[in-house]
Amino acid sequence: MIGIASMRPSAAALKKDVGGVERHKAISMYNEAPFEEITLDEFELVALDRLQVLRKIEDLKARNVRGDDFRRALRESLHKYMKLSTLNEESASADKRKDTISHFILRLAYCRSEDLRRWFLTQETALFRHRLEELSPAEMSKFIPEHGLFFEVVTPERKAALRSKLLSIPAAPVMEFDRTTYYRIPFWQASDLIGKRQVYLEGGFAYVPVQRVVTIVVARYRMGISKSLMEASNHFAYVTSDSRFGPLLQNMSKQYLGRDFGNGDGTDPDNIKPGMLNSLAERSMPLCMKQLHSALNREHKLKHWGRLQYGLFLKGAGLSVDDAMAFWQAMFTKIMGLDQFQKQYAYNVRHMYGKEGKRTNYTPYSCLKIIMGNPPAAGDHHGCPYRHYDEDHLSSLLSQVRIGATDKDAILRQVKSKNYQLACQRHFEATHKGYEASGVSTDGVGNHPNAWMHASMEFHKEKAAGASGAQSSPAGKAIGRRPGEGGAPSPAAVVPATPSPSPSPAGTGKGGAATRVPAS
Amino acid sequence: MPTAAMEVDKGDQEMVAGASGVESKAPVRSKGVSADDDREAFSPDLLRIYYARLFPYEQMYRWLGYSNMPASLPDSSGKPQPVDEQADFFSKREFSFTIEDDVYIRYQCFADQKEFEQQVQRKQPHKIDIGAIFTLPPKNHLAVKPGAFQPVERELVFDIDLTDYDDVRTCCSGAKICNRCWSYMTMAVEVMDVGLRQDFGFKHILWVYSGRRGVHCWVADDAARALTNEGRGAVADYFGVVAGNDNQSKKVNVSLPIHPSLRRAYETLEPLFLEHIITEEGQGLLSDPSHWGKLLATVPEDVRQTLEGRWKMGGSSPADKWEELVEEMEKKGRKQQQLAKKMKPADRPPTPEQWRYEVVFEHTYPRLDVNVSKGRNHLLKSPFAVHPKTGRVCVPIDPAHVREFDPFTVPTLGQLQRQIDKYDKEHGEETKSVSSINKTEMKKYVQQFEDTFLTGLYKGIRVKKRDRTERIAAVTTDF
Ligand code: SF4
Ligand SMILES: [Zn+2]
Repeated sequence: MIGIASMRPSAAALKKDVGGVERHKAISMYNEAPFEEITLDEFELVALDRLQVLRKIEDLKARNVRGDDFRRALRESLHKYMKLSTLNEESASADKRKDTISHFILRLAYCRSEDLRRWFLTQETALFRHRLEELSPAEMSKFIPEHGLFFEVVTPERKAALRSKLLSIPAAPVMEFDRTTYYRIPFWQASDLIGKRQVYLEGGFAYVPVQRVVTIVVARYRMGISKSLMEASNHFAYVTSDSRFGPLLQNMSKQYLGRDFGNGDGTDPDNIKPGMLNSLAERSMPLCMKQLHSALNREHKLKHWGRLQYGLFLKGAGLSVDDAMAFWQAMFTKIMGLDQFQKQYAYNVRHMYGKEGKRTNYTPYSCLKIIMGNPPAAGDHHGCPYRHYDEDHLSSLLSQVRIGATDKDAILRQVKSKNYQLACQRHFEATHKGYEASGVSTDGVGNHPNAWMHASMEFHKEKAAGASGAQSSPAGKAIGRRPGEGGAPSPAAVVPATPSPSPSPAGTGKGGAATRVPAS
Repeated sequence: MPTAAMEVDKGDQEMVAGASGVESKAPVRSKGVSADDDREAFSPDLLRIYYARLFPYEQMYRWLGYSNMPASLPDSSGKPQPVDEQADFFSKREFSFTIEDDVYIRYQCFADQKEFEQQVQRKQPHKIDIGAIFTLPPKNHLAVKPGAFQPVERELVFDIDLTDYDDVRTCCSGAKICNRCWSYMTMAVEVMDVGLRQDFGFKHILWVYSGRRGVHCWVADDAARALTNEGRGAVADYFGVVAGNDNQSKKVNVSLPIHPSLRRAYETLEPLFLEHIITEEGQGLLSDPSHWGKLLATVPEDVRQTLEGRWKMGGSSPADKWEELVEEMEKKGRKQQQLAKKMKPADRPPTPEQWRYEVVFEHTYPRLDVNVSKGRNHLLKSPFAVHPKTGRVCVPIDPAHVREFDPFTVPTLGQLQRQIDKYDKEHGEETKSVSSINKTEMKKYVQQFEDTFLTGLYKGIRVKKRDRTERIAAVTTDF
């Protein structure tokens, strides 16, 4: 038997008075760690159950399942692994106990590195949001004050005076306006809504209908969890020194995340060199990186986010810091003096490799980060072409990189239903015909640009080995020539089926679902 | 949701962003530069005179020192929470200098006004940038373990530059500007200033001419200075209407019903659109066939044909054309209504109303460089610094009179020096007791800085100090 409280010095007792049938009481913001006795078996079991749910969320998001479909699938998974019963006090309190304990176990297991923290935070936030969204407005108005969220209720007179303004906000509760409670919230607590202009703003206060308060509560929750993850990471070594659950915790977080790219520990297998880049861009880079590479060749310059996205990608593929410096310098000094480069950009390059500033070891961006991150503005070349280009530009780009009509249509179809990462997988399949037979693992293609390139390089290695006996040809000698795959796409090639189940009605979903898709 | 994945590491990005603060700015030249009157506008000697006799150290120190009162987020009633004075507050502010030969020095900081003055005069920076307040004086940033050196607060800033309007402005491009395209900046200031005041409730807003082809905005309210990077991004996005990149043709997306802030902006901007954008004296959007061709490309084929035919005959003014265009679009819209109902919302063509908003906004709505606003740590050129390419001083702009502001009348270093000479010649001996600022146009701008910005700021600071004293008094008498 182990006391979980020993994980956190300041643990307070888990409240025992939960239960009853009020649904909003079942949802926790995990402000207090449980003080419980628990067996090792249970410890592992509850944590793995929660992990199932979190992975489900990740999977649904990666496949861009949204709206009602997302809710339905998640509800199913929750019912199986982590239900929050409200039938009677007894089962309610048992379920809540499991929910709380499993959250705190995983919080510890995933506090270890930045990637793990980010992963956990993302999934937990989505889970919390889902649970809040399942509440009715009436339940929500009870949830708010019970969690110490002091949002001022707008008086009926004031509400009536603002009526026309409040109703000209996208997704305003037009039909239920009279019955809807509005809260007056300082603008900096409503960042999400403000950034999307989804709230009425006056004199520094956001006027938020109870239906949209979810976003704000979620933002609060995310901040809280993010902070406690950082705090927990300071205790990680101490906690895992326990010979019984230490190894359990260590293993739990290994369950996800696949390969780490660019952690600089010398395990990056691709070990690319600057001289290889032109040919790699030609045949082994996903669209986003191809674009950055050719922009760099064309303009001899990349703006800030472009440098980061491309620079970290190259780092992830094993480009050493010295090679990186030589490469960027060679590019930039075509339009500026060496002096200017050294003053303005050399710092940046070293910084990416953790050699300056806070000495953080930056990891290359995943597709999710690229797709959800800072969108490119005029003059920018970063981002994900599937997400950030309009159809015309994307289509002509695909023709430019010699994707045949059939494949192109399939790719554009995925993009239309907002399955950007599936579109990218499709691009891989189209340009690596026969990859299945080659036995090369395509894990992570469409999830991480580095996985894309890695798989492609492996593919070409295999192919070269197959073609010329055991001799493997050094990649990237030929510039301008397209080795391997042949110039024109052959229309007769068998198109491999999309690997993951396609979320058919997603994105185009009915009513509420479609209008909720952020307009950005 | 979009920022969820970035929550944990936003601090990192900030450092990188900060390091690139100067990237897009033009390199500094050290030789003389002349302005329109063909006389010297900038040189190291002129700069020396400016820093010795004209730069308003006292006012700048009063601003950036905030009387040692750190920012504090207002509570739920909107009142800043009590904070303690910090005697070393000013010294934790980062300045960075670009000195002769383009050498860029970051992490400068000064104990007080005197040291600030001495260092500026010693180093003669061609460019002065202002950064954040950090956890400790920035010059010590290498002496502590990574992570201990963090930005704590910073004014909320905006950067608007004419080069971002290159796809719409027809009179000039790149670094060139003229009085015609300056009206883009006028429109931007009008819309932003009202939005910041009415929507966000900010009071202490400083607009500054960037010295060449744009404007900067500094918001110094507590709530603005205390904002996280995420919060800054949200404010910038709130004002982000013109979006898109080189691979997206559409630059504006407006959904209906239109947000109250956009409706207000539209009411301000449409008359200015008619005055500055469509006319021959402005950008000529509806006075020149090559320009209106671009606009007509955004409307349905039959509308385009009708109008092209009609306009070829001549005889109508740009304002008439705009009216006709709106009318035709509305006619078309009524016809399309039935059809559109059957389509999925995403596939529907924009309604005439939407189209109209989008056209006007594309040509007039402020275009921010959001990356400058998003990072607490991003450096921005100091007010009253000098633009070495033009020799002009970065003077404040009074938003209430922004339409009268003319960038070409902003004094250069050369002009200022000649103003001093002229004054001395005319007034002879008694000039000794007159400060140099008062001999030049700088007087007007420094006065304006005080009247439109500093005075109000200090009123707020006094209230904050009083609240704090009262609170202490209440606690000590309450036992
Ligand atoms: S899906 Fe990922 S790898 Fe593919 S283009 Fe987009 S960001 Fe790049
Ligand atoms: Zn012009």
